[in-house]
Amino acid sequence: MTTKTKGKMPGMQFVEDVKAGRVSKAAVKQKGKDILGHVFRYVLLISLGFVIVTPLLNLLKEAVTAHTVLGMKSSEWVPPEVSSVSFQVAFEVLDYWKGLIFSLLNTAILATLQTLCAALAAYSFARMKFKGSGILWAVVIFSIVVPSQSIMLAQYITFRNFDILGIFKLLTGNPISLIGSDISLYLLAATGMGVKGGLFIYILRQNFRQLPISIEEAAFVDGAGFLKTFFSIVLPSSATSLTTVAVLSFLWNYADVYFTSLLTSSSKSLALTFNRLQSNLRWPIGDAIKVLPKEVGSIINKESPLVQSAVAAACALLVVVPLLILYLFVQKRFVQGVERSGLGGD
Amino acid sequence: MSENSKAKVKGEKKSFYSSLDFKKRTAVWGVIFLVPWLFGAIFFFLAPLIKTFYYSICNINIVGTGFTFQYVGLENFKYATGVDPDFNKDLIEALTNVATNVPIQIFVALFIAILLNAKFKGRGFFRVIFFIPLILSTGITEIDLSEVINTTEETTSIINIAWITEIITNSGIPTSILSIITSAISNIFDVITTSGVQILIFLSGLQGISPSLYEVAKIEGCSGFESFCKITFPMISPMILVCVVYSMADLFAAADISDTIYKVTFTSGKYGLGASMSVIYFMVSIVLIGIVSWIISKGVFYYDN
Repeated sequence: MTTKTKGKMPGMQFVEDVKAGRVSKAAVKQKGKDILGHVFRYVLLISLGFVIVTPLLNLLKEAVTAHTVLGMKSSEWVPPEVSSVSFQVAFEVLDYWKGLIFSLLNTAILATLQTLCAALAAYSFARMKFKGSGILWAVVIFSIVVPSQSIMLAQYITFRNFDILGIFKLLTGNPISLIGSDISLYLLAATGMGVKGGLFIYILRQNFRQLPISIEEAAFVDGAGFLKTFFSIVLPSSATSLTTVAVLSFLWNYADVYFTSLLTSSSKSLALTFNRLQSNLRWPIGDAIKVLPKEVGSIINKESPLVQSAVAAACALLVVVPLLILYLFVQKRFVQGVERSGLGGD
Repeated sequence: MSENSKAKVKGEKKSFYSSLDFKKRTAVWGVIFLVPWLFGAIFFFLAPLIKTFYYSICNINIVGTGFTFQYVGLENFKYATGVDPDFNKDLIEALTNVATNVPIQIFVALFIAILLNAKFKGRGFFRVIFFIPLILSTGITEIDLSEVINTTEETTSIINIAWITEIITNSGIPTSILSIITSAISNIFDVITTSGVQILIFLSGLQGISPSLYEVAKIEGCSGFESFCKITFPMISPMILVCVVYSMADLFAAADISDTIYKVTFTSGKYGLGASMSVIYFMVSIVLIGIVSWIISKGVFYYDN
């Protein structure tokens, strides 16, 4: 249909062919359709991509605008005067470095636990069927579908009077309260009931089912046990899917405020701090002014809603930026993982 | 359940284990691999679920460090549906939200996935962009990003697509359909940012379709649209079911009603009432998701079978 030549601009050969009358009408029509399709695709992709990126750019613009020119009519994208004041305040308000280190460590633990539990459960559902595993699989689907908010009170009480089969009552006389302790979050993650735990089991199960079973069979014939097969054959060969799940788990746990606010409401997690700031930024800004150097503090008007929203924008960016950086690092593997994870449904 | 735990106990006895055949050993290890999840499913999911039903028919008070439960029958349910000012309104809002947004989400996600699936220059770049919503899709960051945007005047002008709405309003389409379309257009930001997972599911589904099917179709003279209807759509239909279920669950979980329940439960301290609201909310969402997925599963095509 189309001819390709090296060393010339793409398409030039085609134009020459058309001029020389070497191409049929149908081929010209086809070529035209292809080009139109391409243009259409790029227009759509760019405009949709723009919708996604716009909020981030807007936040950035708002956060770097100098406080003296806030609210002034200006161009859409370029602030008339740039300053880092909003960021300086945001660092103080969020208690950023402490919060960041805590959040990253905490989230790394949660993501590891969640991925491991999901992988174990998913492998069992994919390959090691037993009587009743069909019913249990239905429970997994059920746990994806049930809004976790609808059982929040009962979950809260479970962790407040934490006692599994009366063991703690026997040991200490009283059930222990895990509210306010990170252990409650770790427990949820490690047992597959954390943030979107069911979905991870689903993704990994689909992936394990698509692995060629002959490799595992060969391992069994050669005398490898189930654990060995799982850890040294199954897991390495599904590295891409595991990356996808681990990354998603990290992102979502980092941004989660539902479980953190329910179970560890005094947590230092950045997302939670930011969430708390949403309702009232005036006092935290006032506190931050006292800490900041005089010449910076004096320009900040904490009563102005414009200043508050500029600081909120800076805070939002500071919370999201670590995720964006992480995403840039893993995006190649992540996107590949998406391609190969094969979430084939059934 | 009792069978499983028995099987586990048996598995731990070495001599007994060695006498099992391969199938039974697989079953034993299957249970062992499931232990962590099983623990969570029982104690942190099923038990709280049953307890929620129990709380909903009780009046709950805090006494010291514990709770007292007093049976009140269906009082809480009557209060939630009859007296409480917000609950009915929120429930209906959640339902209409799900009914309008799920089809749009599925359509947009499938569309974007198909766009991203084809081979073209800069595909990697666009994929990176289109998965950004996954980062912002749960938790507070995404919600508050859009809130911050709406507070500033200049920024709304970018997302505000009033002129498109105007064109559609003057086109003579019935107003009932129109209101759905216009709300969809003004929600496009929300729709795209909340359909990250669906795009992911569709994209990996599209990757799984064998290219030879398309080759055959092309040789037989199918147009692009025909091969979409006869190959892509049937092959992707299982993923549509998955996405619909996921979208519905996600939208129900993100609805304002969960905030209302949280406030009633923890801010006002009406634990029993909150539990009964949770039960209604849960039953409505489960029944609806069940019905919809049952209907869709009738039309799903499975390639393997």
